Amino acid sequence: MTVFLAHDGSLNGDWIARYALHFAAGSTARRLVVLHVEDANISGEPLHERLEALTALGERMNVPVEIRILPMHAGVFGGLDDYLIQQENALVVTGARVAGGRRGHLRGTISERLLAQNNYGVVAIHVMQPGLLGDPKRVLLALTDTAQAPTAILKLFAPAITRLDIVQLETVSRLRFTRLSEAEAAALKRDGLIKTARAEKGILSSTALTADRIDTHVRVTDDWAKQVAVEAGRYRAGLTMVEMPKVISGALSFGHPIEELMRIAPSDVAVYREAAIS
Amino acid sequence: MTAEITPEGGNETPFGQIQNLTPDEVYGALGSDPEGLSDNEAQSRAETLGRNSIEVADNLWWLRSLARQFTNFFTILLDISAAICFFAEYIQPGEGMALLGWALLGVSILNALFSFFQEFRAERAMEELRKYLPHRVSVRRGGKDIELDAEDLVPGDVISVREGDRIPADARVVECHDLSVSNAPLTGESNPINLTAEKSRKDLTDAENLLFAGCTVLRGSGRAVVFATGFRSQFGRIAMLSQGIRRAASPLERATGQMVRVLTVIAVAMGLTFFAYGVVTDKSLWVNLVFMMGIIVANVPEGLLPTFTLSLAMGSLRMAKRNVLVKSLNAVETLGSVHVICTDKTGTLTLNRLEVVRVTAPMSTDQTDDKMQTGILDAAIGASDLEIGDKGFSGDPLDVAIAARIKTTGGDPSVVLGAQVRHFAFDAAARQAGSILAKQSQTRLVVKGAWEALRAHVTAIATGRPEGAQLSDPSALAACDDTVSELAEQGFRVIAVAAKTLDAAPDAKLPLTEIENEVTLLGFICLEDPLRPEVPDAVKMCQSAGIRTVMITGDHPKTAEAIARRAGMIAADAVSGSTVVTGQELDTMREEDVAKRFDEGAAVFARTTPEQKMKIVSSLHRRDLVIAMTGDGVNDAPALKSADVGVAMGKDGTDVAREAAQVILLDDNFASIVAGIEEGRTIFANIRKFTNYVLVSNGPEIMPYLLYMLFPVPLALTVIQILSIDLGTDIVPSMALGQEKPDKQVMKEKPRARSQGLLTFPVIAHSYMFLGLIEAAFSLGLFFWVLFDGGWTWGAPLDAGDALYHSATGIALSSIILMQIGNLFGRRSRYGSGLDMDAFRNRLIVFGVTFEIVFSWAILYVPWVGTILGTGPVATEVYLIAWLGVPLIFGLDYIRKRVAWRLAGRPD
Repeated sequence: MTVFLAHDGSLNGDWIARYALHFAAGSTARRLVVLHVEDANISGEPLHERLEALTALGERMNVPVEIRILPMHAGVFGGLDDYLIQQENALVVTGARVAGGRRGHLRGTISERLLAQNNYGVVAIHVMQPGLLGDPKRVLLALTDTAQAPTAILKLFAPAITRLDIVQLETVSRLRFTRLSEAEAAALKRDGLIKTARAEKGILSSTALTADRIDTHVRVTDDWAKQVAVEAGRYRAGLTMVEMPKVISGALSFGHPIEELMRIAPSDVAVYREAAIS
Repeated sequence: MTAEITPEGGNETPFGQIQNLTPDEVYGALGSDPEGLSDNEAQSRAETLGRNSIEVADNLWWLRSLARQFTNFFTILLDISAAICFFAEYIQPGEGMALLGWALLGVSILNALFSFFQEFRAERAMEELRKYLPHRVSVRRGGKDIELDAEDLVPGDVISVREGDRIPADARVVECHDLSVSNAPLTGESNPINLTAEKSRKDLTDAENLLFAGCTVLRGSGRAVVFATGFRSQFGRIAMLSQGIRRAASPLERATGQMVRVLTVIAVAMGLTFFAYGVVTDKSLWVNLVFMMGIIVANVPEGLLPTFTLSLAMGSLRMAKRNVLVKSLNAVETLGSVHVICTDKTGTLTLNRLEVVRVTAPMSTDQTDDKMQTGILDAAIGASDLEIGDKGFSGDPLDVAIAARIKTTGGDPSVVLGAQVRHFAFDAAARQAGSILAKQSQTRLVVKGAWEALRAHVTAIATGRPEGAQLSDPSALAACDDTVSELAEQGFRVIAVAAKTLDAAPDAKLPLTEIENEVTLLGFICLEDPLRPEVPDAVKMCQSAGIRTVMITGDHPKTAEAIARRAGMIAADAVSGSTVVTGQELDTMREEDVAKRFDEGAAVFARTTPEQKMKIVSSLHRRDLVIAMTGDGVNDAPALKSADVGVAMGKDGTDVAREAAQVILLDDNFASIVAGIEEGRTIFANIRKFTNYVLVSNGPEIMPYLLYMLFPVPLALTVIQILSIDLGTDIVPSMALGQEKPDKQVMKEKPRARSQGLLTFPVIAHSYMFLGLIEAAFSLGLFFWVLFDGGWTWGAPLDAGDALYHSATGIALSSIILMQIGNLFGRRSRYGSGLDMDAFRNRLIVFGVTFEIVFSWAILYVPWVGTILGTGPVATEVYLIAWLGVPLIFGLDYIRKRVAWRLAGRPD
């Protein structure tokens, strides 16, 4: 697998690059390809300095960095997609707006469009703790009913993870939540435990993570985003990983739980989509 | 097919976090430099990264909270009842229905507002947390040092800190001048931490080159680069968890919710069914509406939930008298359903003061003789730094404890202290303190400290024998090691005391380490923080009540285990260490493993951090246990919120912990928690009693409507009459039952399961199908007797204004109220009669019964009461016959109780 970093030339891009270096260090290619689409906004000397600094960082970390400046093709997304679609077994590391405000963090971004593609894996990272330097050590994987554990990404990231907490969130409506009997809650938790066990088994069998570094939990909630944020705080996660739902990719609303999570999470957030990763 | 598990590339991670970098690298990593960020860059980061604030910008949360309280099931139910009353008033004015409508609406509003204010208080924890953050901060921006609002800080800002400052955000130290901080709000540890600017190999939370938001600079000054602000800081996480963790619905909330739902479904289903029946059988709309409303009102115990609130409020007052201050009314009962108490050690199980409990010779674990003890204590106090004030000695608690021991043995510490010519203050690294004493012509060095620190300097060992000290050979030193080890295993803090005679006063500049060679070990002083005397009995009471007690402490495992054994938390025959889990183990354990260790009998979690408390709570929740957790520090707040009952310390706790908790122990005493549990259990038992009591009257309230619908008979009870019972005569007796004293059995039964509700089938059967039917049959019997006696014939229409109808409904209502007296006494005891002197010591019972008697009479014979309720007088003998209902219901219920008692195996 080859790791690509879609770098927009910003400081936020530098912070995301640290994650990308981690992924690249765990890949067979052990190199990072940095993609930048020529854009009038960020170019010239500042961009050159940033990319040079990134290359130097890669050298120090024994991860060769290759820079590819891509032409626009019907916009930045087109430029990236044109290039990436030709790559085999690619994982694209990209970013989210650090402060979304009314615009949202992922909504309407290039990353959102990349996450909607099926030809390559994508992980969009929202860095809120630059001090972690892309080395969160403690990771929270928040799973829902349909979410798949990101085994291919975790395979790359495993050496950097000292603790992986897998939380299965059984989300019910507020109306149901307030009336949930003990028996119903227990049944949901039992279901959740089966799912987490399955996810853990998959992770153990396909990554270098060992059982002593993993714990599984189930929570019944009526507020997915808030609960994930609380769990990130509870387990002192540096990075929270959530899957981009297939049904809404390409059309995130401001009130979507993933957007809300990015607004309130006390950790970095990685939104992944691995469908195309073989 | 085998999966490939080898990492694709090398698995060495040459990366690190901010603490692993050199100061120069820090600037680069955070996009900053020693001159600080430019204003433009800072502005841009503020826009993208947000403000350094732990406040959630949600100005409308209170509105949502208020809306939630007004839309819960119970409130809606009361509102519907009120609406029905107003509608009835509209259709048929002058029957006082509007007044009842207002009453119901009032109850509904009061309940909702009460719940709202409960939730509003939760915000105060955030207020307290905010006090830990500074308002202004010194920042370097664009090469200039300026003062800014702390909320304007962004990652990459270079801040300056100095002694006394509160730290505004998580920051990496890049310049350090003798910088020392207290991280107590995060770690609970008050010991100062010396910082450095050098890179560290430790984890983020342990690194000694980081400043953390909310903590304090104790000494020195420095510069640091901010790397986490607001909720992203470690302190922000605590704030976020304190605010974000939602306490699970209490067992009582669930039980009442379930009861209200069941009763509502029954009421509405019955109302609609019979409304449809009325339509099919061509009854008028008015009759149908009155009928449906009557059925609903009869089924809903309108007064029950307000009585719950009153009962819990009164329970909280009783708890306050036992040093348990309850902030949330639901916690009153939740405390009663606790399965596990997770308690701190220091101050809760122990007295939080050091006491000398034993003084031993070097090679003995037994108390030594008086002469030797005096020698050891005098040397120890000589090596102390104490001041004598108006209130006695002050200084290090250990020194104060030694002075106290000398005084109890008849000595005078000030005599020895007066001989001090030089004192060597306690050196944390060397773990010892010492003094040079000069008395008459003799000069002595006295040293006290950890045995491991003194051991290397000991060349002789006191024996207490006339021949004096023996030389210390390896075997003698090994014997001393064994002594110390054995004493430590017993949970003592062991202090070694040594001395030597000096030929002359040494050079004043020489440190202790250069003088203390060749000292004679005099003996050991064993100290402990004594167990509170009431704790063993309280733990025993917990055990008989099926409640597990777990100690969570930062102390050494041996000390913790020894205290737990003395408290009775660990069985005497339990293998040493088998019930102890250390924080280090806890870190590597999965939650399920923690739960398993608990199942296997783990009773002590030692060397734990406040953060690990949350893990313990989550683990125990896997077993569906109701958990009470104590805490006092800022960092305990999330754990206090995670537990079912958060218990904060009133004397020594922080305001943050107190605000996050539902219960405050005014005396910090474990025994008070147990007292609170007893009260909580009593309250639940009492709630069950008055729920049963109130539901009984539903039977005679529903039955008239069924008869009215199915047969050509007048309605025996009007809506207003039903409400006069539910919101009138039943209220005070219900409150009286809520005031009943604890039953002897209350702390001998196992805690109830989370799933056990209030409205169980036995309660329904007993209320509706037994006592309810008796009341219905008797009251309807009197109703028809008066009707037939007055000339009414089966099927004949009877006007609602007819005096005969008023008399008949009057006696029906009166008899129900009187029978409720028999029901009231019956509810006081599960198997007994309920007739004892305590019944008459409960003033509310006396008042309630008196009110019922007076009201049952006034309904019939006081004209204005009759006008309001639509009742009229009956012959005195009929009223007297109605009194027979009291012994009838009481007697039949007593017979049932005796049968039940026999079937239950004749319990005590």
